[in-house]
Amino acid sequence: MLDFLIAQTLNGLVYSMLLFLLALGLSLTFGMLRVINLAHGAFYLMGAYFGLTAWNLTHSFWAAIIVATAGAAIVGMLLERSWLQRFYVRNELDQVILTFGFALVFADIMKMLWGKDIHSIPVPPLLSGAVQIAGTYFPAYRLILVGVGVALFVATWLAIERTRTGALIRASVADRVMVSGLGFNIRLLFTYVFGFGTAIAGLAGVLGAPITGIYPGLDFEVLITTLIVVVVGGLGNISGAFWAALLIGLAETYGKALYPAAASFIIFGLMAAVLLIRAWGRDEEDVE
Amino acid sequence: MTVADVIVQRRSKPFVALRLWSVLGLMIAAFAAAPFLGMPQFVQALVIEILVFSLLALSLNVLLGYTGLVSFGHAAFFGIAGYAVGIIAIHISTDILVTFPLAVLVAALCAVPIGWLSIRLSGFYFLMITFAFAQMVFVAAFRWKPVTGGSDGLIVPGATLFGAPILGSRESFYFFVLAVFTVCAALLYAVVTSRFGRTLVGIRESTPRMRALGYNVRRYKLAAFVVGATFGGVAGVLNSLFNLFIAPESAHWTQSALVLVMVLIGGAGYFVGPIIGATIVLLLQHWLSSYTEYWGLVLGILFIVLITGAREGIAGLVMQGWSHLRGKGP
Amino acid sequence: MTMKTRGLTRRTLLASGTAAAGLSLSPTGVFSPAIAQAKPLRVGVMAPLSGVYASLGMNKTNGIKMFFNEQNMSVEGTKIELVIEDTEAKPQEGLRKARKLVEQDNVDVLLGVISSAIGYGLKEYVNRAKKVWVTTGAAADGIFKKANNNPYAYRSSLSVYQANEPMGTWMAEKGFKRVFVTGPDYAMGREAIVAFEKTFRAKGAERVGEVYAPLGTNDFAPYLTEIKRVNPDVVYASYAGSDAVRFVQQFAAFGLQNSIKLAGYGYLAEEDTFEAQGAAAVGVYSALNWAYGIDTPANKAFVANYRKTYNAIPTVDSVAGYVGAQVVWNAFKKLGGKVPDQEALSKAVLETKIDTPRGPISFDPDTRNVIQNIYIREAVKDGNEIHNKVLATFEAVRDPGV
Repeated sequence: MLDFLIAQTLNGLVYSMLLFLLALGLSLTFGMLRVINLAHGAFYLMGAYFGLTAWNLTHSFWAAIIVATAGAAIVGMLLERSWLQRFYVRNELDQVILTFGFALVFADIMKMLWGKDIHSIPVPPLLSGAVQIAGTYFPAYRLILVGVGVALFVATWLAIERTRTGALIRASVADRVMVSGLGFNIRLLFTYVFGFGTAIAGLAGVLGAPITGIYPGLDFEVLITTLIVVVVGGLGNISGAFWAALLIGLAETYGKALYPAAASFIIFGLMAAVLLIRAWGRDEEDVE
Repeated sequence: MTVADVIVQRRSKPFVALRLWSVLGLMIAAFAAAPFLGMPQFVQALVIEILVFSLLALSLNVLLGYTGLVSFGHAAFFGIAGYAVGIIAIHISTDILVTFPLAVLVAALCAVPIGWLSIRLSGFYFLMITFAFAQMVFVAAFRWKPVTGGSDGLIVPGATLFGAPILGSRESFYFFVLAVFTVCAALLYAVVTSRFGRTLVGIRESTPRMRALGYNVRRYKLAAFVVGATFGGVAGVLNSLFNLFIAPESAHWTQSALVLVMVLIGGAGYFVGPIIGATIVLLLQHWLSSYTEYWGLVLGILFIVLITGAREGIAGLVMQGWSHLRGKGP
Repeated sequence: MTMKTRGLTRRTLLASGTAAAGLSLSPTGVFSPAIAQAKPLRVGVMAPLSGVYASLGMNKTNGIKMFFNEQNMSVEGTKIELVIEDTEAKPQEGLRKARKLVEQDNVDVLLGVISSAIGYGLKEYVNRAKKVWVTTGAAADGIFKKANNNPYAYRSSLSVYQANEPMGTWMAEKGFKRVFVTGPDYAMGREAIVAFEKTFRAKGAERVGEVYAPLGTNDFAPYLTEIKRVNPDVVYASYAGSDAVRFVQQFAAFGLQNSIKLAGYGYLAEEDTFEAQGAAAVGVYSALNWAYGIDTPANKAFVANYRKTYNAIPTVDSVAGYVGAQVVWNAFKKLGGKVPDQEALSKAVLETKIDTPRGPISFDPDTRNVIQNIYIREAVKDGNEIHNKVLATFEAVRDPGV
């Protein structure tokens, strides 16, 4: 029984970290820029594909990681510079439609470039192998992902809360005019922040590739899950995203282990429940 | 700033209404005459589908364009009614006087609790919760094999009337759908131009103000939700009876997204916008996919272009062009 | 790893001397060579070319095109035209395309479809429209039963039951006694396991665990942990596509590959999953109506030709397309290169008895489902690649149809 608990909790933790990696980029973008980026899933897949190509050429996992992250960042920044910037003043629905349009465009471009087959990136030999915990073998790679997730959380939180740049970003969101009046280049700052968000999505894509595989359609699968995590955690709230990822990851894992039939409902039901609990008693316009 | 704030509506003056209905009336008359002038079977099928999805888009617009509620789960009611008509036909009776109204009623009844819960949120959160409910409907359809046929879908028995099979031929179904569409469109128009409809617009423009004026905003929103779901259900029934088949994908979020797209492309601020949008999207999807497998790319570009340059959809563009031609406006 | 190139064209109208563009929209725009001959025969091909099954659809149409090209796009002196349409694996779109092909393009026969949901709807449609349809997919058991047999619909691919039933017998005879079953939680996943268990347990073996993964499961960790705890002799899995890739990979990652045998419905370990699965797939047993390694001249020629033509490895879907095309072509041939009416075509298809890369096939008149060989395969390393080699053959397997 204890073995079961330990094993499934570990499974849940690992899954949560993958969810968190996905959610971080989206939450960051919304928290900092107030932009809902529905192309987020596309950046995840993009990172995975960039990583795949890098791996095919160099057989180095580290190269794959660098290329994936940098590639997603560059595309993200280009997107922000060229198009998204005009949409900061527009309402959410417009942003949703714009980014959804780009998601569709990216999806087909990726299909054109990389084809329709299912691909994967193998775990690097250094990180492969299993660790024995509680009588069951656990892939080492997954445990490492847990570490990466936690590290990223801490690093991002620190960066935003404790550094000058972070303060700058928070200030710009609160009062853009004032900050640029003080001489800072707001437009560039926002570009970097957006690029950082997409970079994390790309990183998550390449890191997750050995577990989820790489194929067309993964972008929208990931997007749905990410949206759920972000909504449960509260849009723009990074710690919220972390705890929401934990909650959902553990709930889904235990759900699958104990009540497989109800598992699908759990995620959607959970999200609906959290949303409603938050909103209860308040007037609609307060919950934005 | 609420999500639908910027969707501008052209107030429907009686003069405009007359013009609108004379155009629509002409089109409907043309459609009615077409089969007699040799409209091929296949084109009839296309028109049937356009009418069905136009109705679905019109029903969504009651929520979206008029009340400002951006729902990402409208396909749920399309699917619920679509399945209901099949299930009722299999287990109770295939008589259309039984299946049709009952199926629509089922959709409307489901809309009550779903709507009651959902309208407590707004903006992006409303979007997500309607999405969540719709996905639950999808999952139920997908997994409840004994009732819904599960992932393989459900074969819908043909409709009968007092024991005799009806609507068996393409042409008869064509006229049936045309008639139902005309009635529903007229009803919807009456709803949105009534005091009720104007209240909805008021709610969209400024909820606090409406509340201050003493309106029970929640009740109106719920009513709009149910009205939208009901007519969406009618579309679902028509769809199932046409294909004589329904599958879980009819309730999937991608179907909801498609309807949303139809409304936005056509123009949410105009009554006929959804009809234009449904026509364009259906035809695009059908023709494009015969030419290229990358029609997603085209659709994506269409969104980007429209949302950047033509916020009020095709209907908006047409109206702008029209007023331009007449020498007024920008 | 082999990088495969894909051309952008996914549909081609082939008439001799023409590399036509998409002219099929208006039937009158179709190019026919100006030679006094019988009217060209038109085959309406339906496959998912976008969406989740896109790679399967592409393989299928490749197989179809390859066969017709081998016959120089003609039969008994009559030209053959292909009209290819994308079903997007969605029933609504599938029915729409079928209507277009039948009512607007006036095709002589319908070929294709992979998704079972489309299959159910289409079977009713072709009965109403009275058009012969040979499906190369749509493997759900319920689509082709004695009870819903109609004279127009034929299945040349397989039924899920037919493919999995022999595996139970074979595995029991091999000495496996305790099985843990798992699969995706929808019709195909469950039907495969039901069929396997029927014969497996009939031989005295037992099931020690079962779990069905809900749609969209990315992570099988909770199930793998459970499997490890139960410790069966063998795990029988009915996953396909990206699920198959993930399950097999994760199975190995969790260290189960060396202690528990992995077996399953053929799609678990097929030519389209091997590249992504890598070494994790080696040693997996599976059952399907074809194997890359079938050692007959017909199959060897097929594989070689496919690899040369498309610079890609053929999969079971490629073969399915190829065989479907064979069935249609042979029926045309029997009728002398013309189709006087659909009843005659249907009769010609029913009487099919041909040899294919999968072995000999014919149709069961009670269900119009194909009667064919089922192969038990093992994934083995073959130089730099992994392929299925045949361990055992079950001949003339039919679906009971009940």
